[in-house]
Amino acid sequence: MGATDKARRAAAGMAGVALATAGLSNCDGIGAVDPPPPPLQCSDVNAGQNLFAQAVRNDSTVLVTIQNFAQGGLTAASITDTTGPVRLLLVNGPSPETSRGLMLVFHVLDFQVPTATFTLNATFQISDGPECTITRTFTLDLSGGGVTVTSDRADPLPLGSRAPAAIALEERRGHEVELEATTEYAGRWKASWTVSAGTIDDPGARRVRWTLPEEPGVYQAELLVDYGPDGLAVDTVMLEVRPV
Amino acid sequence: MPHPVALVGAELEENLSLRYLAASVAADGSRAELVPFNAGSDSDQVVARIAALDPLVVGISVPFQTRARELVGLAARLRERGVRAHITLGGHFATFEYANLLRDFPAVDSVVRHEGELTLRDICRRVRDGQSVAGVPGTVTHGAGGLVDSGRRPLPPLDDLPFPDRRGAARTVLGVATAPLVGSRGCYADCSFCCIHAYHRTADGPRYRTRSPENIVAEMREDYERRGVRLFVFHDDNFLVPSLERNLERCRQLQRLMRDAGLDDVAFVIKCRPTDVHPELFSLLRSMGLIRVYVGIETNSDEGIVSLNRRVTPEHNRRALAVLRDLGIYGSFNVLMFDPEATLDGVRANLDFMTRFADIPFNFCRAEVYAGTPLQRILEGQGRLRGDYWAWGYEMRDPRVEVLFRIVTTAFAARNFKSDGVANLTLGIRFDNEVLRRFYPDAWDPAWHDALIDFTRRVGLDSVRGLERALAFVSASDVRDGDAVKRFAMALCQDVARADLQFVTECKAFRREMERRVAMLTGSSDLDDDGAPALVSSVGMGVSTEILPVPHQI
Repeated sequence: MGATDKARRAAAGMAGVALATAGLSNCDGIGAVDPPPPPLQCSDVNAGQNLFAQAVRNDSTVLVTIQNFAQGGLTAASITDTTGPVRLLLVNGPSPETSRGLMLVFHVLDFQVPTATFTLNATFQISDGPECTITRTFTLDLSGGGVTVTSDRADPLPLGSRAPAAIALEERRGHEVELEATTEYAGRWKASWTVSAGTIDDPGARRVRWTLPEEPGVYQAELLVDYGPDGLAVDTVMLEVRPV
Repeated sequence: MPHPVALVGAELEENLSLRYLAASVAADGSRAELVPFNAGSDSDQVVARIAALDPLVVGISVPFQTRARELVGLAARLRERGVRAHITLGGHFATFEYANLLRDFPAVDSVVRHEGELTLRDICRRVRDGQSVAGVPGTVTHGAGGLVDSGRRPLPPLDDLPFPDRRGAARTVLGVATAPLVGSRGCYADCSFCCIHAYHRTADGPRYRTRSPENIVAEMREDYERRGVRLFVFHDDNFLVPSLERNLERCRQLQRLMRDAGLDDVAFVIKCRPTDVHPELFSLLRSMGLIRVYVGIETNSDEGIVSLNRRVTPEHNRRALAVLRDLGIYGSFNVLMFDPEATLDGVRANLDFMTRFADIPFNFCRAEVYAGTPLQRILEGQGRLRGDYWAWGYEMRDPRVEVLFRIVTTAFAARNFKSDGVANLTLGIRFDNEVLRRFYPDAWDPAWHDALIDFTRRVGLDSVRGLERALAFVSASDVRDGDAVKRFAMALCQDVARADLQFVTECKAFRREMERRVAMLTGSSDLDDDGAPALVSSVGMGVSTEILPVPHQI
């Protein structure tokens, strides 16, 4: 009996042998392919990447709202290193009422000086993860009687976020599938979808319904997640319509 | 029935580390239960299973950072569920990060550093006898005054270890029963990024140990007879030593013993460094059944070779792949295109290499920072280490290279890193082709083989073209212009995705044809609804390309 015959007999002799030729039949030995980074880490929030600030001004009072967009919440916060023509009057939060964010109230002392800065030092509890420290400096632009709040981005180079996006397949009904965009990105993001064929009900929604063509073939949905200045992430899903 | 030892970890294939541990505690009279934990979504089920086992000891294998948090986090969930067992962690990651883990996860009782067979055995004895684990060599535990480091445990000779637990049926590839095994542990090299080197360098013993050929063949023979295994996947970090004479001697001995044991109809796969690929040696290995070799190319740029401490030359890399190509041995490789000192010229050198060997499946990525590695220490010393112990990171010195990395990581994320991405599918279909050639030669033909090589080359060259576009962009543009960089990345993402659709469609057609050929030859009746051979994926139905919505069924 030759080598091949012996192997074939051995294979056929095992109950329930399945013909497995698959993408990963040899992944065990691929070796050094590094996986993408894990979900949210302290390094994703240490520089306050998860925070978004807005400000409104009422004459000599400036209200700054700092919102968190990451999975988790601020657990403590303090404001330090305030410079320029403002004095901190009130820190409200972090608390469930502020959605684990903060409200700050400043009093404008000098209408002639256009900019002020303050630094937020906080601790942030990642959901099902570690507690992290956050430090971020914000700048208030008080010129022209209004106010805007900005902050140097944590990473001066483009595409700073490596948070992957992933498509979750939620439901299948006939030729319709429901897909949902997911990401662990800590800030604000928006989704956009394109498909190689068929129709998609709302290409800008996070959850969409994709109606596949009747014709057999492999079709692709592509999700592009826009992280604003922090970059973008892409994922694709390919589904096959087979003959009835 | 006495309380068992629950061993937790990924079991996407037979998890050798858990199975070696299981065999070791079983040899000492304890019952070991394997608890697969393949994804975070399995967490509830894993907790329930362990609670139902009411174990004496829970051992959680934490090999890499990637899933470390969900694996370690299991300890707290087990305590919440009322599990009172001694909980211990092991593996590469735990070996180096034991202090952080014991500080941050009080539910964990101990960490086993380095190889764990004997240490876990002793932990089980102590717990069974109601004694403290502190003092067991190889462990770190909580103590009244802080952590108690009980010192290193000398590494045992590998032949002294019981063979790994082989419970359950062997996985199959094209109907051929397959099992992983190791013939050695460690590596003789000292690459700066490599956790294998770091792990064994800090252990109490040689940094590279081999099993005797007799011991290896005895294990192969056992699995051959008991489970019908014909395809052996050697997971040795490095199958070879840096001496042609010694390699020839060892492999000839293996060949003789395999023949004597009747293992003349098997196949195997290995990993090695390019410096050890030699025509005479690999002719011998091919005659023994070698059907695939992963070659650790890692980089072909002059600065990368220095930065990563590869101790090879570009000529070694070129010659290694040329030898495999000449011998008709299927190889694959990975390129760590990005490292802390990477340059645009270095990227070009790697792209030239990838173009030259595009017929051999490859992947590319950044050198990541693993716990305990020289790379971690170097970056820390330079003040360039970012992140925390869960995920270290860094920025490349040249901002153009950094932005290039960011662009290609975004654009090639699905192709390179998804389990059902084109890179893995290409590796998989080429491997299956070699299984077909070895075990079903009547179903294999040279034209089919050539078509797969052509497919591989087109995939490889498409990746190179995308990389070259990105390289040209960062060379000529202001990389701090966020809008322009983002627009470019978006366009590249879309082009890669379009090409992937075509490649996946082709790959699925190849796969169906391969299964059809095998089914015809073996008379398999595993057919699906439309009469085609059943597509039973080794990665399950949960991956995207395997979700096949048959209209009349859904």
